[in-house]
Amino acid sequence: MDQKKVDIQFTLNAQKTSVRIPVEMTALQVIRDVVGFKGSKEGCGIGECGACTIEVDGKAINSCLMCGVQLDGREVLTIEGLEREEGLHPIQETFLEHHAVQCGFCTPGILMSTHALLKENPAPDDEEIRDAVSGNLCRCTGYQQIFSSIKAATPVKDDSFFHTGDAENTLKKSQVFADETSSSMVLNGTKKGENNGEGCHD
Amino acid sequence: MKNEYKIVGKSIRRKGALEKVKGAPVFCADLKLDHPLCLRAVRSQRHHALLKNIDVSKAVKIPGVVAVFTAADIPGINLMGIINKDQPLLAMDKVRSMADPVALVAAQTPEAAALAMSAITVTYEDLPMIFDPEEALAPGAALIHKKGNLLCKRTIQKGDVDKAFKKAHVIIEKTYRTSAIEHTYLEPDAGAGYVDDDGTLVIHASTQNPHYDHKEVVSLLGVTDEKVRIIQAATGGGFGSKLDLNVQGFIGLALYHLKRPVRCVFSREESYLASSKRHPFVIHMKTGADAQGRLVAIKMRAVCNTGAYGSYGIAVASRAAVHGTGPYEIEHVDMACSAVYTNTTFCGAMRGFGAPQIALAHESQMDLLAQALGIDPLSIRLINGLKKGSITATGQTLTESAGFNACLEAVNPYYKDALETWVLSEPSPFIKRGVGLGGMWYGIGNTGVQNPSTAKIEMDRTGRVTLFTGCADIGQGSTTILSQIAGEILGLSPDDVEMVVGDTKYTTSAGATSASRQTYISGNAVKDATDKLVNVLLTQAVNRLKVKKSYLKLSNGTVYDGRNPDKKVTFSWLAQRILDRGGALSWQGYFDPETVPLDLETGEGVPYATYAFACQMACVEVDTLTGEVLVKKIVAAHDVGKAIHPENVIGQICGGIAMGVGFALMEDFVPGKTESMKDYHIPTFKDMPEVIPIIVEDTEPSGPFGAKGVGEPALIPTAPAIVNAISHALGERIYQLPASLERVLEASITAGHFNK
Amino acid sequence: MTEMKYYRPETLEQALDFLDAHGARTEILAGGTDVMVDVRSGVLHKETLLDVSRLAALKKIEMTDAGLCVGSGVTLSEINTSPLIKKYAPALGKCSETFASRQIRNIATIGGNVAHASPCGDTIPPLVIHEARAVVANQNGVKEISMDAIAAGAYQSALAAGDIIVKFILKPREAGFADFQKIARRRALAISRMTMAVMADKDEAGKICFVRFSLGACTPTPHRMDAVESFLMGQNPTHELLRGAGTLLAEKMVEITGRRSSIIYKEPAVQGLFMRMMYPMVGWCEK
Repeated sequence: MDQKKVDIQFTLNAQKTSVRIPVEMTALQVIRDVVGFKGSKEGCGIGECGACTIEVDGKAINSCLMCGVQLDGREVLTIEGLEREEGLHPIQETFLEHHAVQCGFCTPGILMSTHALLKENPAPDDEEIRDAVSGNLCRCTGYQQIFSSIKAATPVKDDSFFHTGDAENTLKKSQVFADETSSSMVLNGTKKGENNGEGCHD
Repeated sequence: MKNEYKIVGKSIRRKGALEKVKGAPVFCADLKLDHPLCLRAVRSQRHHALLKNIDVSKAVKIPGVVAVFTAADIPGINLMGIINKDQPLLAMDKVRSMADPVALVAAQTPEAAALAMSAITVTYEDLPMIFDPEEALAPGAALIHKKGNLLCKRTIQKGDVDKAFKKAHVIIEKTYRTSAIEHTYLEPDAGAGYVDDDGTLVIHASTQNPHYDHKEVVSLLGVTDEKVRIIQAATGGGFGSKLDLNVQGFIGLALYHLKRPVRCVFSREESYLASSKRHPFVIHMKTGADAQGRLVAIKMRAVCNTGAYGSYGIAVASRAAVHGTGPYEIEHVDMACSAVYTNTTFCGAMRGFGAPQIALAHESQMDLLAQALGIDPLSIRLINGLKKGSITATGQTLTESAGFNACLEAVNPYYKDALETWVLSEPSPFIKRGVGLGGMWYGIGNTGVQNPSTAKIEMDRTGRVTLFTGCADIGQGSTTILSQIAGEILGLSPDDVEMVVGDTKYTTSAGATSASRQTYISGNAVKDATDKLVNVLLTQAVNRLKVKKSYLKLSNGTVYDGRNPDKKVTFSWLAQRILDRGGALSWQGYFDPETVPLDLETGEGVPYATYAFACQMACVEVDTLTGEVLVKKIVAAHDVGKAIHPENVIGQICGGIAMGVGFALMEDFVPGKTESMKDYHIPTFKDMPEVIPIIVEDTEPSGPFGAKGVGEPALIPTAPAIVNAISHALGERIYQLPASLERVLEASITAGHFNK
Repeated sequence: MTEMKYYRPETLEQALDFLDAHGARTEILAGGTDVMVDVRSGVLHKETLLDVSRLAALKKIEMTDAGLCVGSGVTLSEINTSPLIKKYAPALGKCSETFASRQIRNIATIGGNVAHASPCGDTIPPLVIHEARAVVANQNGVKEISMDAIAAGAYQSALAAGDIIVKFILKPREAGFADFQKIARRRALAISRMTMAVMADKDEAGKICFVRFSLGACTPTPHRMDAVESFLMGQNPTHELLRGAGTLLAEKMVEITGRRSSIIYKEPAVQGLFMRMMYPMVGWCEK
């Protein structure tokens, strides 16, 4: 019952995940530092920017505000879980197509807010889109091309839009991401061209 | 907007965006390191004090603490600064602000680092604190720096303003104020470092200028160039603040001594405390016009608070003085802008370098003059707008690409329509609608100084092309457009142009990603390098195809006869031939804008080789009961010379406008009070107007494919347009930014709207 | 540093047992939007986090004989989509539209918002106008505390260690007119500088026959403005009347806060927001 470190189990990107964590840890820290998925970002640590947005039981939440232990038993989706076997998720595709990415730091959070929105309402009106994304700050884009990207993806007609893919393979891909690719970018840092970021995973 | 090119002028998919939508671990806080130490800076507890003693004895004994460094541990020169070197990495004899680092802790965990920070005892001897520039300049004021509290004063004098004012039909003289602004890039300052197998100190940095970082770290550590390698990591925005060193010096110092991996990531609170800010300004401006609305004289006295260290203060003061006239031709000019030291967090570069602040003044003045003369705000701008042949305040004749009037004309139909219909229908009895204009000009590149860029392009035996550039892409898209420029010249898809970007081991300096300079200057450097490579290819192709060079074209990795496309030769064939014969397929490009340094008294000179121009129109709704302002729409016409990537340009415009909305209405950084994002507001999606971007292309012949720049221009006219619109709505003007709830409600009450 | 322990009770009884034994050293965790910020800044010095976020007993929205019951663990998003709240406490529904951000609404709870006792708690004025009582349980039983009494001062709730808010009982009303409005420095993710909640009804002649009004965020604790309500009762809601009520409201506010620098803005702004919010009533007497 009372413990300083707590064992929790949850589903992360369709994969069963078990961790043992201190109580002070936020969900963001669990995902980034314990599991090793770096896609969710810390922009402020106090729920004021949305860069840490993940989906828990289908709802967009600021993972920096959630106590990590509260992930127990939940279904969690992070940016790493959007991509599918057959390629990018439609909303990732539309963000590329409509130039919604500049520095990219807010992008995972915005994609997660968008995914959660479209899951709940595949045909949102402009107001609803604005409402869903207002908790995600962006300093680069001025939001307009982000808005066009989301509009271009709606109404969602594709049933498999929210399919997270085969559990095994989804995690395998994400793990490769977290372990191999990033380490090859840093520890063996003499490769030409690695720092422009194109080297991973295309 | 016609486009005759195949790759330039097309909105291709952005390079580097794929990894961002995937959430790839490419930012410094994400990079994988082998048990990195956590670095934390201990900062001053005083605004202004002598540093008598630092006792780290307790801190080093804390379990998990590996080292605590002070100034004594810096092996090289403990002074940094992007223009003048007045900023220690770690405080030596005194502290000048609460942001000054006095010690650096390296620990195995963040918790141990935090304990160590609390265990460090610093003994200070207080000095008088100065927060106001006027106070700092008063005789007898305590000296913040030995050489005095005035960092610099830029003056521009042309003609005889006193005489001209006497003849003016109308004179407007007002004081304008702006506050400190925090960049609030989404990625807090961060870096990660390790020592490579050959002993190189490798630093991954979130930065806007890796080559400057390199020079500075080398100097701090007193080592040779090869000993340090800076790699620009994915950088989550910068807007000017990631030009100064923030973490690079700390990482370099730790690597030098400890030789093990380290990471330094600021919390948002530390970023707010310690990183540079936008200079707050006080601007006295006096403008005179004749009865027809022609501006005849301008006098400006501006003071900006540069905080504890110089950073880009000299550039900000210079830009403010040079741009003070606005995009208008004025014969008689007397401008002075001073940058003054105080004991607040240092101010440095922020998108616009003083131009956004000064634009509040010159654009408000234009509207006030128009009102006094009974001329409409658009017409008075048309009458005075700079164009080809105009002479600027520094005596420069604009010979090309001055599309200001084209921007005004582009906005005109929207303006007319807004005035004739939109403004007249009010959504509620308490909402007043207003329409305002803002004009701007912005010199591309650093003011009156050399600021070259270099680039290298290489082709290998197989015909594969790699472009090396030190140009930092911080989200504005430079990597993409540079690949477009090279691709256009080579006839290659940008996907086939491999990019090596911002790695001091492989690239050479492109100068800073600032001053809206990269498209123009690095674009030209890339063009220069690519032209040279193409020339070599074509020369060899002439030999092969037996066709005059002028008939040859490039496409899809081949050179072919334009009149007879089947007659062709591949890049790989040419490359092998050239290399086998001892020829060169690696070419360096170079470009430095043609400027002439400004005379120290009169300011006469050529500060920039080219200028961007713009006009924005803002439609606002002012709640006369509460002071809330909603910006409904902004029409933004920007002369960019040539849009290499139109959607990138639009992205910059929208982003700049967002920043301008924040600057106008809600951003106010108060040193000591503003601590986190709870206290500081940047616009959310719900605060954004509809933006109608209009790209105007008044070709700049000296630019790559005619291009100039847009990064900073995007934001400069926004706040002035909004302020002018609020004034139009209420009939009462606000002279200080932000036009906060308090200020707008006060104006509403003064104007008599509140009690209706 | 691993200092804290965690306990997630399965039932409310278990929670109360725990609080009885350890209440003074326990922090109740629901949505976490306030608690985790305090953990991060190191100001939370409690031994255990008691996670009540999954207690079914705290999650109900239902109409009973006592009134409209809203569980303390109900999130702002759940308030936003509740048909019962939309019908019987529309001002509460409205405040959930502009509350922070969607991400925060998805986990922040009404209980947390009240217990945190921030003067800016947006849920408080709507609760006040519905004369809500907080049902507070501890090991000794259950008591009801009015909204006026639940905040002892800014950030000081009247709750004792060992107490837990179970639910709020609102006096339901399908008011003809109800609204919640706020002033903030931007249109989302912004702490309210000023909030107001109102509900009102008119009689056949168009006169105000029922009105409840509360001011929030600009006083340290929530206030139902009886004086303003009395001023309005039985009157034709003309522009004149509203102006008069607004002036009175400003006076009452200043009585509470005293004359501080922020009054320069707040004094007119409170009248302005009042007028803006109440203005739709002006048509009543013209019919």
